[in-house]
Amino acid sequence: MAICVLGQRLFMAMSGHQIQLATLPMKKYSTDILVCDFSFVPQMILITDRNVCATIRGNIQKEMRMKSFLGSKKLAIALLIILSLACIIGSIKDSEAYYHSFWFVGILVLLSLNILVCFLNSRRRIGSYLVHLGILVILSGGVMGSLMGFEEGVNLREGEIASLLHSNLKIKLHNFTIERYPDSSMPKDYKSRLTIIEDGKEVKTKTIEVNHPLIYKGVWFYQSSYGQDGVESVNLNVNGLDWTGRLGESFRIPKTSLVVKPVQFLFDFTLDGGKAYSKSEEADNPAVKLDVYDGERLKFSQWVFLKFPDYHQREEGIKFRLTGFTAIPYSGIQVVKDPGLVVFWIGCCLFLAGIVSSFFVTVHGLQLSVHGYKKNKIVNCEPTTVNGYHSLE
Amino acid sequence: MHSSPFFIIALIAYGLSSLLYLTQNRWGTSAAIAGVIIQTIGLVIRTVEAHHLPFANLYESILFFSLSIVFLWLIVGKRYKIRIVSASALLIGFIVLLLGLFLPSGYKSSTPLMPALQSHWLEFHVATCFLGYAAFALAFGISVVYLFLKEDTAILEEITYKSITIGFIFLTIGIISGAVWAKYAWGRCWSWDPKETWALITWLIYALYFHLRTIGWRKKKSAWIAIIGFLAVIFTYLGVTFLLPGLHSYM
Repeated sequence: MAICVLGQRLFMAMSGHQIQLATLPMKKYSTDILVCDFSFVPQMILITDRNVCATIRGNIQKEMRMKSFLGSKKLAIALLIILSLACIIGSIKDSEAYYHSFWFVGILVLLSLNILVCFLNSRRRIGSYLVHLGILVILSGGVMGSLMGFEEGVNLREGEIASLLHSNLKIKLHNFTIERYPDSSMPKDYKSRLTIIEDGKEVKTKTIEVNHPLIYKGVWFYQSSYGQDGVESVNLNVNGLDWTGRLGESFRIPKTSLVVKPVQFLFDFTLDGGKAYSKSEEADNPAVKLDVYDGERLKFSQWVFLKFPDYHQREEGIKFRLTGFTAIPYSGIQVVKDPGLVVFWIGCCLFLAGIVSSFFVTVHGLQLSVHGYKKNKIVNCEPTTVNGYHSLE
Repeated sequence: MHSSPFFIIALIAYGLSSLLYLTQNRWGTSAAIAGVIIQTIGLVIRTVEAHHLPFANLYESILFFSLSIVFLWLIVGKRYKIRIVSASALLIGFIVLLLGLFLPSGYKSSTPLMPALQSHWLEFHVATCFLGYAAFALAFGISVVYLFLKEDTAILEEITYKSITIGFIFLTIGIISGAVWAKYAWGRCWSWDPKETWALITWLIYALYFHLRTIGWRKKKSAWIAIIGFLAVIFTYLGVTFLLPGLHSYM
């Protein structure tokens, strides 16, 4: 005995006849053919008509192909769980290489195959198609970008021209400005006026700032950071006398035979194992190293700290002070080419269209779901009433 | 700060609303609406004081989060008129706002926006993510009630499903808008930083919710997934900020 659902029609077949019981009022109907064995659902009726049987059997086989392992929902669920766990581990490791590793990519490949096979084998609602197609397209876009794109960071000082490793284009920085908020050192805005040079010719010029990149022939130039990696000049005060000059420039202390030369400047002086270096580019502990000569002979060297003027004064009678400095800023430009970008966006749009359209599709009526089968006989099924669910399935 | 009193009053309103909902719908709803209006006024004042919309740090995001929870409930869930569920929704809004107000004052001061955040994507991306979180928070509350009730109330499952669908849509838009913004600001759509990765994990768990339902994991089983999903939301929001900081940490 069987109740058979074919498309939207609910059949009852008995003694060679098939009687259409009802047309289910479903707008979009995704589940296919379900035939239930009477041993589980007592009110079912056996189909004895051979032709009906053959049609149903054919449809069942189509249904069963969908249940193949690669296209199965259970694989999808297993992969979603595995992917989630993999991401959790990755977030703790916090290494980007992890996400490009063979086995992480392998999970994504399996998931894509699963979606593809499921897609090809079953009839679904349009929303479901779009959502899953969108995911495949997004992943493709990501792959294209990884394989065919590049990313490079360049630091430029004003007036400098830089070449790129991955492209024939060159960048010239005309000027770089930083605007800070009045009562803090936090930057309000920083911009670079850049020119792109191609084959020796200036082809595009634009002032870029964070969130507003320059785009030329698919290559994007971003204002990504800034810093200071040198000083143009230092301001010293020696025994009350002010002096400003470059590193390596020397001056004589009046009424003495001593000559002072600033030779090294560190923004954030730190001592580690006897070696001095700058911990960061922030001017947290500015210091200058002075070489003091008596005639031609180097008498001594001394570090002078802007924030600690009395620290480590060596020579009695001479007070060295670091009163200021002029830093040379550099602009941090990020250069990116991503050929997969448009594909990525298309995938996102498809996905969104799918989700939103699913939201507006309602399902009503009777749905018989198959949960297990043996050869051509469905052995376990469950009739459920579906009402008003905005279904994404 | 001039906005603080408004948030305290809103807090009281949400707490009252939750209690009132245990007895009857009308006063519960009135208190909730009052709370939403007062909290919104507070956020407007905060916007004027800070010179930017309230999406730039942890405090501001908690304020928006709690407002979204109650606001979404009033729009989507109130119509079901199930008092115990309304009470739990308002309770969640109350607790979130309470956490926000309990933050040390250092967190509450408004700082000017750094260049990376000076973009209209800020409002859009943060708002959509938090609206998603709010819908998931509601689904969580309803699922907890559902698990405690002895009968299988199909309506609770339906509201949960609707909430999660809304949340999933918002979270998807939130993640995609984040990717668009990241492309314009930093050059890549996706950097696998802890915040992005955990947003994806949260998204995957709710995708699991939908897929599990197709193999028969419905009713109370799916309620558990709704709860696990919300735990992921909490970790994405707060766990990552405090335990796995990176480019995305705005405290």
